[in-house]
Amino acid sequence: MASDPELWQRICRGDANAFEAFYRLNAPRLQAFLRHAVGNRQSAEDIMQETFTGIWQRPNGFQPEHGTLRGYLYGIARKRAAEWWRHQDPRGDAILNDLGACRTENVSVMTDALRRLPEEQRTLLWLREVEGQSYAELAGILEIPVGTVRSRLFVAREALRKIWRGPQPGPKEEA
Amino acid sequence: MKCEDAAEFVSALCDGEMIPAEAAEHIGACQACGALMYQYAGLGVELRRVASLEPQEEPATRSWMKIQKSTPSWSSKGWETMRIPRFAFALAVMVIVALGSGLVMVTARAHTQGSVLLMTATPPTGEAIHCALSITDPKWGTCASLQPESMLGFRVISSNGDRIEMGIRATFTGAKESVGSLFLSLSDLEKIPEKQYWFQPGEKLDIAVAGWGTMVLTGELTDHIPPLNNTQMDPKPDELRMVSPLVLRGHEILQDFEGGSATNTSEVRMYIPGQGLWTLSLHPLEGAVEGRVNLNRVSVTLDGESYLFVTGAPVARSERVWVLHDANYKPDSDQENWFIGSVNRTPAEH
Repeated sequence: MASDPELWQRICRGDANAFEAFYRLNAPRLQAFLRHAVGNRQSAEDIMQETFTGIWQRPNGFQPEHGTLRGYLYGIARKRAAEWWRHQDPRGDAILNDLGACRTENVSVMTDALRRLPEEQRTLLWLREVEGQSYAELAGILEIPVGTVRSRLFVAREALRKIWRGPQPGPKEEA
Repeated sequence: MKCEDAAEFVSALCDGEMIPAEAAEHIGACQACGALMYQYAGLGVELRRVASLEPQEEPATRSWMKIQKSTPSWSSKGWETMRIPRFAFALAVMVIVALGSGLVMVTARAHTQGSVLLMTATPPTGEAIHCALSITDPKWGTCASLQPESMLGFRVISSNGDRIEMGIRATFTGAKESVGSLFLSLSDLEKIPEKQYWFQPGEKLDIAVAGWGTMVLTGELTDHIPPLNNTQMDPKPDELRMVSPLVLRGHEILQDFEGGSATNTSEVRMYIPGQGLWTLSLHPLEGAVEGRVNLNRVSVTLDGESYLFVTGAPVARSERVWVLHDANYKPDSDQENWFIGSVNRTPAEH
């Protein structure tokens, strides 16, 4: 597999084979991430396709010195997911309706806990724990300082823990 | 250090980050913080386990080679010059614009080769929109419908076998007719995010439009763009239609409304910059002059000068039409280009 700068140069030159490889490699996981980010299978696929199409049509936004190509991809997808959320009716029941098709009770419990988190926390945890994005990559994707990534991850973990396991045992005051 | 202060560093440890010595010392000695670290780690494990159970769906096949950077934007072909009016009246008058179908007619005259998708978009309310979109020539692969209550845009992006990748912009404003004036342009359409869909001719594609409902896309492939897209030769009863009209005064061409059409109405309004507003109606209008309809022509004499409207399809079943010319008409916005629109009145208003 070519390095990010090399792959990007080929994509910028309109190398469809290079972009196809990039798409094949990243599309399934990106779609899984988006499924949890927006909670809707069809919308997740739409956003995933829009993300790749946008990059292919306007391949000029990635700067290798500022992060990885994968981080850039997820950053665009996250923005599109956030845009999608802005257009949803907050009272709508149609969202978050596709995550219940899980196959075991434990999966349902975690999936349910995850969907009860705010979108930003859900996204952050998924990118960190599942996609293994580093703090620096997360800072680039979310456009926040690295120190903020740490504090927000903590807040997200704590929120998920409380939903998943209940509030006890939490950190207690100790000298 | 207190546990509540150390908790953020417990989280950071789970991410493989280095933490301050004071926090590390506390966490090592504190049973509660140790338990918390165990729980955080367990969360990560569980998340990855759940993710591992996610179906790894094979991404849809895409034809990247076929997406050209030269794909025209909505404003290509001078479409940005077309503005769609909603006329102002002292009393509430229903005004609907029918230029959307007219835009499709732009394609009718020049393009007759290659695979073409005859697409019908049926919105939750209102009339269906018919477009003939070239699959092979991006220049003729777009169409749009702009109305007070909705804006819709369709574009062919690529194809793969019989499947067609389409870019669709759709928004529902819900605006109803009211006193006042509104101008819509294709630049308004460009502000709407585009979504991509794979469409299989012969099958239905449901597209959710926020606040409106489900728009259903159907279509079939053909080898040419019909000269009269979805326009029957025989006008409907009480229908006056102007399909891509040409307006002449004597032997002088006043305006070629190529691509602009008004159909499914009994009253059409046409504005020519510098010349004013023409209203053609199947019903008598105060101050209007009677004109004659002959197949695809309307002839009338106004202020001693003869006018001829030549269109791409028979105009009406009636042989009579009333024509009103307001030479002093000025649009109530910076309208620098011609427009054509249909006025829909309730029967009581005629």
